[in-house]
Amino acid sequence: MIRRALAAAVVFAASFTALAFLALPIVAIFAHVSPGRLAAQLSNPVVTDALVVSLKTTLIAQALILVLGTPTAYVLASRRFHGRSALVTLVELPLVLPPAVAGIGLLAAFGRAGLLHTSLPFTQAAVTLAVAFVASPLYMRQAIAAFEAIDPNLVAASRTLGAGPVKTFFRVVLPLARGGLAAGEALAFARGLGEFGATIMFAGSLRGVTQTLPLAVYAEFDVNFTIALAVSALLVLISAALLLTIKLVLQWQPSRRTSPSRFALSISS
Amino acid sequence: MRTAALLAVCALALATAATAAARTRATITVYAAASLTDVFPRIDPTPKYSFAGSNTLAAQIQLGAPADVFASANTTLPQQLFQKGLCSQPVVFTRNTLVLIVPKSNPAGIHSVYDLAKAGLKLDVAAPAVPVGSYTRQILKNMALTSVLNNVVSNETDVREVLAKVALGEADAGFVYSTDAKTVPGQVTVLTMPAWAQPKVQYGICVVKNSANASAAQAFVNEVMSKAGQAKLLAAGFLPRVKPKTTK
Amino acid sequence: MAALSADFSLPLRAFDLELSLEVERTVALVGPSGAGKTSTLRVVAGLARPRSGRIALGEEVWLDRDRGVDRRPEERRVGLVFQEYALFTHMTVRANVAYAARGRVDELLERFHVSHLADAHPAELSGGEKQRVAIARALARDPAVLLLDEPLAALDAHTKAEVRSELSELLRDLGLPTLLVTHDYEDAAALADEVGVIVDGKVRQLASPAELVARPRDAFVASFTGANLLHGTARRAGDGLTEVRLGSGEQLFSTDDGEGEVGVVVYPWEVSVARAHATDSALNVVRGEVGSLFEVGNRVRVRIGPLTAEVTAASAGRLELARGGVAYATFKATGTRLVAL
Repeated sequence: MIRRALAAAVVFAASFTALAFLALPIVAIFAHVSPGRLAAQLSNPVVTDALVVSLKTTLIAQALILVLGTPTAYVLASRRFHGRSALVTLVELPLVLPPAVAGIGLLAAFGRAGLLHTSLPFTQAAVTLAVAFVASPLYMRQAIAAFEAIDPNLVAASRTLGAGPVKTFFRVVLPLARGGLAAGEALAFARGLGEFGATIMFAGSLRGVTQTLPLAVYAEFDVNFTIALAVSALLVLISAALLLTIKLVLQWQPSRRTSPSRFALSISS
Repeated sequence: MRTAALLAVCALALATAATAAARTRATITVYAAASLTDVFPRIDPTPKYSFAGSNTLAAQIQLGAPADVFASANTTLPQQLFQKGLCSQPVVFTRNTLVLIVPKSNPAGIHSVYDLAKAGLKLDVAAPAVPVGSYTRQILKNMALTSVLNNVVSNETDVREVLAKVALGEADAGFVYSTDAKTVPGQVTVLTMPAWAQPKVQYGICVVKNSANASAAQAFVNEVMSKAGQAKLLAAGFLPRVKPKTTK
Repeated sequence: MAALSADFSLPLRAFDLELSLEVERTVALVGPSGAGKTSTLRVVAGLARPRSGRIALGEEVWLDRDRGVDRRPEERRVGLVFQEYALFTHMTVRANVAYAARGRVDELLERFHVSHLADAHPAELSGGEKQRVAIARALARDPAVLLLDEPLAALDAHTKAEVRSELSELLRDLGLPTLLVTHDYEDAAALADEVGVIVDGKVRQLASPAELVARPRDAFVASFTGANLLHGTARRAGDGLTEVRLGSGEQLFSTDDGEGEVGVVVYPWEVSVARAHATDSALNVVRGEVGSLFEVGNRVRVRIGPLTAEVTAASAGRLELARGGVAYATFKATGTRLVAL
């Protein structure tokens, strides 16, 4: 009797600590400065410049990830061939790479003194590339899982019903994988928005050109803490809005494969 | 059997942590400018060091970071902390010179600071809030070359980042301290700047007021100021603490 | 209507699947699971590529490995109904049927009695309803060949009987060359004109259901079609009879020829049951303990010793058969088949 109460108390304490730990930094950002002052800072050119750079680079990077990554994920999910697992590991690699290492890798590959001798470093394109590099594995993993979860008989049925591989992909595969793809894209977007280490190393930090929101936070941290807070708050709000949108969009699907809970994030649908 | 092994591992871990904690009771934490990365550990290897842009370190100390000593690449930042009652009266412990560096391969063909005006040049500097970034803008102003800043491609957060990018050959040119350039022999070419244009580069050091090891902290400062410490600084290329009186 | 001819060799995990079939009306392939039945359908549909072979519908060649012809699934005019139906879960019934339809969607929904389910999703349908939708969808394509994979396997016993007769009627109405696979011999016999017993990738015998029962080519075919199979040693006796001595000691007679080790095949419905030893010496008799008893419709299947007999419920009642009792199974020499083991 006492053991059960003790166990319950331990579980409660652990959950409370974990949730508080996660919530505190986020709440603290908003508690430090009044919403009024925060809002006022948002019209500061440092903030608006960073916002524009972040949005431009993240959106282009995500478009690249979706357009190039989706067919790649489908091939990796639906075919079995020699070296497939090595390729899948390669696709997932940036995920476990420390961002700084990713930055060094990008320099070594695309730097002026690197393998490909491009003039990419210090350009906005470099930011896009860094973001795409670190965010892509988040999308790819989900996409591969989503495509793998599709019953191959449905694909076969589509073919026997006269649909070629392309029509089958758009009318059967994509709609069925939609949930997992969206979840993957949400993660990739959030990761891309928050990218710092690889960006600062590969693209540098110049206001209006390569200084993204996270870089602006760091740059302003010791110059004007209030601006740093404002940008941080902005990032939290964007991320939260993104997560919420994805969940709401997923809700509209007549999917019967996600968990019975209405708001569970379907990682593998 | 497995439980016993698990308990043994836990006990060992706790013991190690305890001894580590015991050891560090006398170890101090020194927050120092990035340009001191190589020379300070040579003066005294025992403290825990945090090297970064002096402005970042000052901001962290203001927010309560557990530093015992603050060594900055200027005197302004320690003075500000002193005025806020966060550290002791700062003293100047060394000086430095600003230099222009280009990669060994010199891709943009830069031979003097005046070449920095070339169109399309990739100039790397530190952000204005970082001491070396401020000095950079001062020296350019002194030489009426502020327009050269149009070629800046990045505002780094400390001097070593500038050094790295030039050494790698990613940037065409950058401004660092002469002591930094010495740490990467053979990778960069140093272009000295005229002495009349050089800003006053003085490094200030102080003991952080909230330090739990005030005496050990002061002992460290004394070490830096001692003949041995100063000799090590000179050997690394820093300038003597007090500018020698010239007969000119 | 053109006939489908399929002749190919496909290496599978444990054996090679080698088939040579002509499908004019309805052919069923029966066999244990793993025999290669589903693989056969996949090869015909173009979802699996055999090592060698030729598949053609009349003059239309779908596959000819020697000539490098290999039409993709969407180019072969097949209608494949999958074992688990493979309905598109994200589409309504109407959308499913309309997927390949050339405009006859409502007509098909009507014909298969699923019009009232047009806006439902597959997850909401019962097994029988799903099957009707799957067939409608396959037919919407206007196929030239119908392929059915275990059409009755996913249904419960009650629905099965109903669906079987509906399906039989449908196949007759359609008149398309149809190849269906199943593990249940009775389903095959009810639906097909010709039944092929397939084991480990090879067809042991391909004949009409009646032929298979009357003249099973070997022991496997016999037991698969539901016969009793006993082991014995045969030698020629007089009067055109063959005497067989069973391992358990009984002596039987058969009108078939046989020598040496043979399998003795008797169909359950040809076995009569008595409580006393029959005096008619023209009958084969096997004495045994009554084992399991169960009703199948208005008949009763009863196990007597090593044999399964099928008698009317009335007879079973009259004989007062009960587990553990002793009974005699009798059957004519003319109804006793001998097959190679």
